[in-house]
Amino acid sequence: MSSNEVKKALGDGSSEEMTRLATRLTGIQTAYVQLTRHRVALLSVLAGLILLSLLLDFSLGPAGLGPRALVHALLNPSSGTNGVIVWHIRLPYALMAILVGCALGIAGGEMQTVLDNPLASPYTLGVSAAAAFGASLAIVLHWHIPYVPETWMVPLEAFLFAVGSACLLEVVARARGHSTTMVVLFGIALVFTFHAFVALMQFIADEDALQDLVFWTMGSLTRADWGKISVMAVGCAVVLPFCFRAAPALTALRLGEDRAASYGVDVKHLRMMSLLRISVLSALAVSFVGTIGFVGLVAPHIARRLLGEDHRFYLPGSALCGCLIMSLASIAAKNIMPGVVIPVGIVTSLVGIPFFLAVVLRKGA
Amino acid sequence: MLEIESLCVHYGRREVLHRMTLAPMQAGRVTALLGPNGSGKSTFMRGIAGLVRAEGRIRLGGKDLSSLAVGERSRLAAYLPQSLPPTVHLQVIEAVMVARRAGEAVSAECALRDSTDVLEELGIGHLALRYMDELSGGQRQMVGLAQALVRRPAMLLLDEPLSALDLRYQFAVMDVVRRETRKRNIVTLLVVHDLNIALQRADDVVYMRNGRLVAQGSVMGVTTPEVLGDVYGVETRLEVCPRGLPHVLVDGIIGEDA
Repeated sequence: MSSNEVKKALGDGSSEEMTRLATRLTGIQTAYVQLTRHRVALLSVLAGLILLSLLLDFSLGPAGLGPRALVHALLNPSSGTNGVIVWHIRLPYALMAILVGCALGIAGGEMQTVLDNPLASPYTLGVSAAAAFGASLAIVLHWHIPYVPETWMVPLEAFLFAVGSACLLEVVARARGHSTTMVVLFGIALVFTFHAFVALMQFIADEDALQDLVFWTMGSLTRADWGKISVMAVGCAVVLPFCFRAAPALTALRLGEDRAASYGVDVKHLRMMSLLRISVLSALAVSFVGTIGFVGLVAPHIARRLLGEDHRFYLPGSALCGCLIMSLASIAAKNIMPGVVIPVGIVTSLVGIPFFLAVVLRKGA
Repeated sequence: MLEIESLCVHYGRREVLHRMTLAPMQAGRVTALLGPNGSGKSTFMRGIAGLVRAEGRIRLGGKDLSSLAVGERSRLAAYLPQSLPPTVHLQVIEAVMVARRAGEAVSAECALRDSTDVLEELGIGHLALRYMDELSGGQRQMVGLAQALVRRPAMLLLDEPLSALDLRYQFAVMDVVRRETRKRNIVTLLVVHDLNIALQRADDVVYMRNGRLVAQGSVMGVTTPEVLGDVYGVETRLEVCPRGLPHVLVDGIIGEDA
């Protein structure tokens, strides 16, 4: 219907035209409501797939426990070896995969929006590289923080360096007016700097420390335990509501910085708070399981295709896609080679690289 | 009515706008802001919109804009940036709803109804369920206008809304701007580069050069070869075609032989 037709319909009050216009308006509104329902249904399907994947991840493993043995061990945590396998290996690994995927997925989703770059992920900021350097200090130089248990030293130092790198990034970005290009370039500089430091640590490390450090940088769920899961869960529970609250403003930001500012969005504040959330989520994930590549990149792309860029759906979608990818990667890591658990970071990278190339080639085309 | 007194904008130590004072601009009229590149037109618009720090007095309908909070100011003055709305994977109806709800507590139902209405009023209701990354430049610019109008502003600030549009869409957008300005009785200020479109479709013009006001008034009242020579440095003739429409003919650069 042209504007003249609308004008005419509104102007002369012809009942036929008015009915047509009313039908049209109702049609758009109905279609939008249906779209919203469709997206909620898609999110529910994703959640269902995650539950299924969690169940598979819990059920499958090198020990080859049958369903009956699994249920028995689940109900009786002190039931010998099976109880240890279920309560100290299967469940923590499976749950940690979900939590890490959630944190990396949503951090990647927010980062691609605030940096306006479809190839951005938590690793663009150098957060994981900084975390790896922090871990290397604990593993190679045995730097200890007083009153902190031995088992928490590596994740704690990794976390401190990850957050420190994010703070440094924020200070530099603020000094340069939060320019998107500046943030990305400084992030890349941090990546190369910390990689060089980690290489130096590998060079001076003794044989055992070198093995530990290399294994840490591969990213593995085998470091998961209930304490770390609790910290990770609390971290996600605290940060995620702030992400979802910022969703409308982040959608406005996708329409352009000037446009968002003209709608009354405080873009600088939004970007600063978003970087803070990204830092905390990715630092938590990396510090507990090591370097996990591509989840933060791939998950937001899948969510965008499935759910569009209304961040009320896109952010939860990124988080759920991250959960699903990590959970499937965890299953693959345990079952690709019989009797061997491959570091999950290797699996995510193997899956992520073709996807990354597909994104780059499609952009180029 | 928009009143501007002694408007100054600095980028660092450089003064980009020099104490610009304009005669009041009336609601229901379209004012075209004209001048060469670098004359401060966009800065002037961004200063009024509150996107850059500006000194001076800006009053809209008796309200001092500089004393208002960012959210309230953005509701009164809708600014359409130079760039087209980006090719995001959002449906048109969603992109307009985002503009309606940003910085304001509006229910989803209300935003949906207002957005649908404004799309129909602009004649682009048929695009409502299309994705932004499927639209042409002209269609995206119409969506940009819908995003500005859905906020029900008292003033429209359009920064080069015709750039990147083909000839047909340039006139289509200008006609929509004129119609909505009158219908909604709002102050509309827009930056354009095409003198002939400005002369034919705007009510008033403001000529700027080097961050200073050169002339302001009704289109035919102030557009003269002397003013155009002063602003653009070109020799021009102003002619009225048999249909009564004004046309600027450019003969060359002042001081250079043809």
